[in-house]
Amino acid sequence: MTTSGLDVRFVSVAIDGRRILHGVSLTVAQGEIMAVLGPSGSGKSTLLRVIAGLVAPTSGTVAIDGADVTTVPTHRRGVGLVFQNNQLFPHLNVEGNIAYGLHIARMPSVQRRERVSELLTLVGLPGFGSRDVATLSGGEAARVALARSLATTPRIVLLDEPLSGLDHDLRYTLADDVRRVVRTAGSTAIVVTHDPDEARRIADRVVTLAELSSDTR
Amino acid sequence: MARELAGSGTVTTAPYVRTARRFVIVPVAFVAVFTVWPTLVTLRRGFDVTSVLTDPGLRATVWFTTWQALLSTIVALALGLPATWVLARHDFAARRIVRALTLVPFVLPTLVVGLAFRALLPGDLRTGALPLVVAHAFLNVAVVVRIVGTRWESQPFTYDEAAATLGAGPISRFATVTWPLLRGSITAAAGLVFMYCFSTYGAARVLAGPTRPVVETEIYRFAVLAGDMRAASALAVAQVVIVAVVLALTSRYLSWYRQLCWVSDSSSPSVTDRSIGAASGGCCRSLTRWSQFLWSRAGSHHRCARSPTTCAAPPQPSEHRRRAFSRASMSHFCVDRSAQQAPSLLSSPLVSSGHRVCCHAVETKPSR
Repeated sequence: MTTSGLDVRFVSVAIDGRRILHGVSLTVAQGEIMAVLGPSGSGKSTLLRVIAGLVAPTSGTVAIDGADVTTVPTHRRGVGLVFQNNQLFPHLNVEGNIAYGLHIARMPSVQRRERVSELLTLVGLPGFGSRDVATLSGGEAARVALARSLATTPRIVLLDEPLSGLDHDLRYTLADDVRRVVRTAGSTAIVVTHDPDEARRIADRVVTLAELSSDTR
Repeated sequence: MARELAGSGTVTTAPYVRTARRFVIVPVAFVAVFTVWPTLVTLRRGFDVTSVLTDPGLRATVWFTTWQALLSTIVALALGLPATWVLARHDFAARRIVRALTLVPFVLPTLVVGLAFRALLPGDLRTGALPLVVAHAFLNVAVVVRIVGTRWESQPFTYDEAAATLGAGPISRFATVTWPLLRGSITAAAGLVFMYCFSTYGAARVLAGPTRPVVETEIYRFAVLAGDMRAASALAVAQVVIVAVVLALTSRYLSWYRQLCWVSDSSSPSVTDRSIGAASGGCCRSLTRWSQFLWSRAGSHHRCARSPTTCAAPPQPSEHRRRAFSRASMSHFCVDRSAQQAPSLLSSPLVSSGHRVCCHAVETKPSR
């Protein structure tokens, strides 16, 4: 079957003999935002890491836009991942972080700067380029991490508990912002979370990890 | 004692702090008698530094000591960094044991290591520059593994993973993430290894041979065997100057780098532009920042002993990291290798060589 978007089939992962994912299958259409719900420790992060290529599945395949990428290394997959604790590079400022992927892709510096300011405006942090990442608040760091992942216009954006560690009110404001930003960027996205409200606010479609698993022994 | 502080009015010192201060006289007197006085005597005697510059024998000694130390540092880094990578980035059953084993050479008396190399090497390679450099590298791999390894272990794997999701391959990841984050600790380790190799005595005594004397063995020969205090002191001063300059450069770089990483307010626009900008414009700024940093370390105890108004704001996370990191590397100055019997420099009352004089200068500065 050739489809645009993401197609994950019967992915199982076992680490040190412990089974973490049990034959997970899912399809996300081009431009769709999907949320995967599941309790802590259920393997949501592992699913994203398999899609990003950071973890090799024990069995099963991952296809993007109809092409099997199961054995393609992370840096050639074109999959963006927003990590749970943002993982902004401490030795670079906000602009350096957002421009990182563009720098790797050898975009000329004039265009790079334009793209960074465009992204900063998109995530609601215009003028933050020269800030040191250590001085950012939790919400600001989450926005910068989102902008960094979107900078290279990846085919798929994965968000791993993007709003964890933020206080309640900020979570919902930011959830709306995340939806707006991902929508504007036109990306296909998967967000994993344990919070159903957050999932509904961000995503077009909400599923639980248990529903996706075919083999729940 | 009262002090006017900008914006916070007059703050008086708590009584227990005043009582505590009276006891400060004891360590101060100790330091004055056992370190400052011998240092001054050495400096006065060695004031005739021109003899090092003019006498070909002394000049050759200083030159040989310098290049063998530089070469030893490079070899120690070349051997130590791959070992550090394995130990810091891979998890295997015997990791802790192997890590402990890498420390063994450092703990062994340098004289014993020298004798071991002498016993193992074939006849014509027993003395000279080569065996000395190899022995120094062997001894100092532990310093590299220790200092750089601590830093490398604390660097989360997720930085690497984040870089990979942004399109960076293994080599780019190393160049743009791993290396910039490690650079400071590698420089710090290199500075310390240079200091240890420059101030070598035991290993050089056995391995350098009579034709290739180093500074410390020559100091001993001049001062004790030949009774030429002028030459001995001149060499001691030369050693102090060279080691102090190298340590200042490496620690300055370290502090400059740390500033760049964590407390920078620089507005350079991108990865490359930023490193170029920092390299060209960062040096002057780093000097003032380094002095501020030393000052803040020096004053930290006093500040917190005072009223809550002066220490209401908790230190920034970056400040914490900065201090912890610096303390980790500073603590190594206390390890005295040339005097195996005295484990700590600060507790060693005997100042017989320029090496220890210099270490005192470095160690006492920040903990004033």
